[in-house]
Amino acid sequence: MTGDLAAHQHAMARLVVTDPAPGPASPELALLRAIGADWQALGLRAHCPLTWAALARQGQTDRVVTRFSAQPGLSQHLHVQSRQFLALAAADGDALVSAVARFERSLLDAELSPAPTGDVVIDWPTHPVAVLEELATRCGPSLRVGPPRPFPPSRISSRSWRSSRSNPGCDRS
Amino acid sequence: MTSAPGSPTAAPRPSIGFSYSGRDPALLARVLPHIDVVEINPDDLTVPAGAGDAVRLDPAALAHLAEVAADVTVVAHGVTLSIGTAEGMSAAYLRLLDELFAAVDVAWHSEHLGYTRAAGLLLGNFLDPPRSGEALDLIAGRAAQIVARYGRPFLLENVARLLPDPGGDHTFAGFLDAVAAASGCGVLADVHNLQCDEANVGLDIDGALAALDPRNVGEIHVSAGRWEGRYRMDVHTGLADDTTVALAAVLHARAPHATVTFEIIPQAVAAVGADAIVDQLRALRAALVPAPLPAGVAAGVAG
Repeated sequence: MTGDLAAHQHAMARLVVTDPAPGPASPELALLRAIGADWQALGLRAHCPLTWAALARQGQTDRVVTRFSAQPGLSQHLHVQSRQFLALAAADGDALVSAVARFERSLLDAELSPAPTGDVVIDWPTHPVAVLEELATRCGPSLRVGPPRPFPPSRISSRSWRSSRSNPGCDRS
Repeated sequence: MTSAPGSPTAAPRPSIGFSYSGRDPALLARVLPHIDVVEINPDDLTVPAGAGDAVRLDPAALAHLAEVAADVTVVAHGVTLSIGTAEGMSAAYLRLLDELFAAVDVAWHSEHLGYTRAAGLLLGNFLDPPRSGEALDLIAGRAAQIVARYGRPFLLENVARLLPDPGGDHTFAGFLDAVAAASGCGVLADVHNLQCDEANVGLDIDGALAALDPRNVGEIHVSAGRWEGRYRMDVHTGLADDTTVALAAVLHARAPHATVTFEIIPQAVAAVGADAIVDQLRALRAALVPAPLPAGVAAGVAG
């Protein structure tokens, strides 16, 4: 019943998302892709501000968003899609982006389920408080950073900075 | 309260709608004196339903909308149904509608005649399917299911196009009318999308509107656009162009029962400002010629 229609739509999906033809796209196709990327960026920047800022700090947003958009099975709803995005960013090769993405995912999980369900241990390549403060500043007034609290000694590795999801005091306002 | 599309008791004055985020009561209070219909997007009201992929409607937003519905007609306009996707329309969106209809008196609802997913991928845009018999059967069958499922009028909107026309057995207007005839749904005519189509894919707007059965048109959308070179983009980030309002008035003269709704995305409201939005709604009402009163009503008033 849907043979020709499905084939047409699969070809359009390849054209628009996954299989850009070699050489420059037509102006119409380039605009269509830009519109899709702009909408996606608008939502992800709002829902994952720290990770977005970490990627932007390293000039990696376009690369990661392009990779993300080509993944099958993405949700159209931003609450779900933002978690899918953070999972990808957490698996990215950059240790700092990965740590920030895992931290932000933990924040989202904590919002969803305030009762602690266990520690989330994140290995940081550098001291997390300074990084998070800088990223929160880049995010503007939508995020505020409280005064840092001391890390429980058991949560600090001798080889790397580690934090549980309850540290430091970075709250969404 | 405004009559539902297709109702034999059309409003005696033009019905004006506004796209409301569902989360800005201060803005709603400003625009409420100037509108007859509040249009909400269920997809904008979602919250996570658990650790998995499920979403549900925000209970606080639902409670707010239930109160709003006591004062003004509430309608829904979604963006994630993807009724034209060959593999299937979105079950998640239908679950959101189930929740919405259970909690709020929704007079009618609408979606886009297109697809946003294919081969498991998000396209980031609405694309229009070929206007083939296969697509007609698929979309009309699904629209009929939706009409039966909720028992309220369901409208399908023409999408703005950038890529070349996919063609098919039907004309642009003929496909909209054929889907309506085969399913019992109506048409939401977005006049700014028509203007985009005129600039981007060479649509003959006058010909399309002349061919479209005005009895199917239950709602008309107006919104802002932006030019990118020779291409007209449908952005919803500002006030509608005078030409867009004028085009809405032309169509409304043929379909005076249709509500004319101004759309703006929530992210743009602060920059545009509530005063400018109210001015837009006033201008929209002023541009529409009131529907003539039925003879009996007019005689009763005179007497």
